[in-house]
Amino acid sequence: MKKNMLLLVATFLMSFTFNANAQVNAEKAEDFIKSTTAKGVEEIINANVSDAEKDKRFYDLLNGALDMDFIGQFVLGRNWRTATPTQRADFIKVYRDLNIKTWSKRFNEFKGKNFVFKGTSPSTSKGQVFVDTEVPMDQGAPAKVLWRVREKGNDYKIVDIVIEGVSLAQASRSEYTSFIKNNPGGLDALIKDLTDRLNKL
Amino acid sequence: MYNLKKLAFLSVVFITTACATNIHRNDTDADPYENINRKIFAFNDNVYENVFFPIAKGYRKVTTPFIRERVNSFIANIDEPISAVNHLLQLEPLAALKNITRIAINSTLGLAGTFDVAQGWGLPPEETTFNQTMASWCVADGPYVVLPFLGGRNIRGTVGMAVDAVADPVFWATYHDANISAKIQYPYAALKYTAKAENYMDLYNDFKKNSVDFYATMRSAYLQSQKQLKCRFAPEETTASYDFDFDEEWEE
Repeated sequence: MKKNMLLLVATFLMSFTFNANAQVNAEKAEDFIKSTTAKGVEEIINANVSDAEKDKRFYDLLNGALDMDFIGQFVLGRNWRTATPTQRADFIKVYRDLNIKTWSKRFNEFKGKNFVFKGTSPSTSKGQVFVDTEVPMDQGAPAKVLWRVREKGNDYKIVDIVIEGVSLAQASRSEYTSFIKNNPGGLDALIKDLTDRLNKL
Repeated sequence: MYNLKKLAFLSVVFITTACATNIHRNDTDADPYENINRKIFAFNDNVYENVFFPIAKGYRKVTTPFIRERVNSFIANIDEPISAVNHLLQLEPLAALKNITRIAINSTLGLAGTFDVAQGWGLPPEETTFNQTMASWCVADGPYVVLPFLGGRNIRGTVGMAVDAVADPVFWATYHDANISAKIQYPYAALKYTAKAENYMDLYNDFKKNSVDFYATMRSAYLQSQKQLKCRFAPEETTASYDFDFDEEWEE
């Protein structure tokens, strides 16, 4: 009997540890998205500061919130493996700057709107969770925006944004892979194209 | 009537062809006609930039957001019976009933559909299409094709769009009299597509400006949106369509 009890306790403890390892703290992940979006809306979009200051604040906020190294590596797909260390570094740098600038512009048009938090949904990837939000539209049904969050210790980072079921990371991967495949200049041509776009912004 | 029969026949042929095709794993597999598709895509882009969008900009200039919202509501109300029928075909009678209630409320209290009163009463719009009906009955998607003017869709989506267009209440209401048909159908179609172009223009331009391969971006967004559609006979999926494994090696 004693042995059985011990076994039960051991199983319980083991399952608990297993769950604790496998499951991300969804509440903390949601709080992270709440505070990131609130900062974006209150301290940048609605703030009465110069455009240069807004750009700077957006850069700091998004650079801290988005895991650009992780996403950048993913969007290059198999081309990441064959890339040289210089190409990798150059790509991540321009990818980071371009994305942050583009998203700053998009968020800036977000004035007057707000995210409505709808809880979280699980991901099959370890240490990741989707934070579900809705954005009320001027007309029609609200837009569904999901934030894919990756937990790393006590740190949380956004690794994908899913708008109406469309993952931006997947779309970027498809786009970049196609560009590299159809362009004789390959990855270098991609880096150059992205740099030109960044300089035009 | 002959044309309708022909269309119905073609739809069956298309659906049968689509059924024979498996669900595709990646974007390139789903797009066997990429070369020709890209050419039509470039043609469409030219048409949008030089014809549709200038008209949409003109429309934006002569209207206020308030007026445009009334126009969008009016069109959505006319289209809502299509959603009602499709919900019935998907065996979703409650959703169909919601559509019908919305039509009743919005057509009367909403002043001929120009105001979405029903949404304020807790009945938000629930739109669905014949493409979604076919997907729910497990009709396979088929290859991705870009049609002149109309853009990129898989075969199932193309058939769905054609069926929804034929089911358009304005088409049926004016079908019997060629005279009335010309007076109502064409101006209505012009208004509908102008309003549509005005709605999509900004998003289209944003995607275009920020893509190194605009064609691939649009294709990926479309194919991803189709992956979400569920088939009623398939086993319940535990993974959401957008929940991929970042570490998995993908074939591209």
